[in-house]
Amino acid sequence: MNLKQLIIAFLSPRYPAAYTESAIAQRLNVSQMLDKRCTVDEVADDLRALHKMKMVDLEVDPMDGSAVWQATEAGIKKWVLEGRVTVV
Amino acid sequence: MNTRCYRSKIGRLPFAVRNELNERIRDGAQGSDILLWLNSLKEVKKVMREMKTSIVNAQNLTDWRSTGYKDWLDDQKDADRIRRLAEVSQTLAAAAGGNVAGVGCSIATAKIMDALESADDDKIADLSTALVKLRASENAAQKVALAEEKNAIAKEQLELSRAKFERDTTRLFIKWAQSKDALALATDKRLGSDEKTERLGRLMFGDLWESEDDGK
Repeated sequence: MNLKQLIIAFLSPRYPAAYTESAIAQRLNVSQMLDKRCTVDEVADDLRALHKMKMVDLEVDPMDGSAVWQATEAGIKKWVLEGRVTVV
Repeated sequence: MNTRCYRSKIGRLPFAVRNELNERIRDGAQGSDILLWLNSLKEVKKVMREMKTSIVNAQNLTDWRSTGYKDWLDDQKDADRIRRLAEVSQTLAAAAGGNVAGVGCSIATAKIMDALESADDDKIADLSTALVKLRASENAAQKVALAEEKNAIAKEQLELSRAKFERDTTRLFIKWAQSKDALALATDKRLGSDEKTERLGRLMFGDLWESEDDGK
């Protein structure tokens, strides 16, 4: 399972919760579902790719201007079709 | 979970096939029916050819039930738990005054999720029960408010009807005060009040007038 799939597996069941790139990277690393630890930059790159595929949405936190990401309907549908694997 | 590596015949099947197989087992399909369906799939035949082995048999299915299927069931439970927590978190964020569609609520939901995911199940169950009660009381309050609104509308309609009646009656009085016949009836000292009412009624409304005797 690659990083993009794991990002979707983290965000989809938690919808509408929205997370920063660093929060997502930290949770994915804690889950130990990746072969090696991921960096925040790797997560950010894959989030942007998923955004182009309309699988995730980008919002800006009005309090501090940080970017937060949440799953889209398309992302959640993909997650369901792929067996609802969940990053705990 | 598809991050796990299974070396069995079924474990090497494509993810979509394994997922459907797991769903069929969960739904209580008979083993013989499952094997019949599984071995008819071209994806399965291809994997069996690559593995240089025969069809998936009953023992393979039994082994799968205690390995891959068990893992899959665990994954489904995790997904359901996280999904429930997300709902509770969203309700809490909204109850705190957040706009459900707003980014602030999504961020608050994530922060509440973080706290709930590290809490034990008993505390989360208590919280869920409290939320259910909160929602029930909100619904009851909304029903009362709706009933009060309906009553206010009915009262307003009644007042409007009364005002219309008074205005119409006044207009009729002005019209008929100018009629000599009506004036003669109204001022006839030989007639009693009931008789005057009957005659004036017939004069003013004709066939539409219903005397008190007609209604009895």
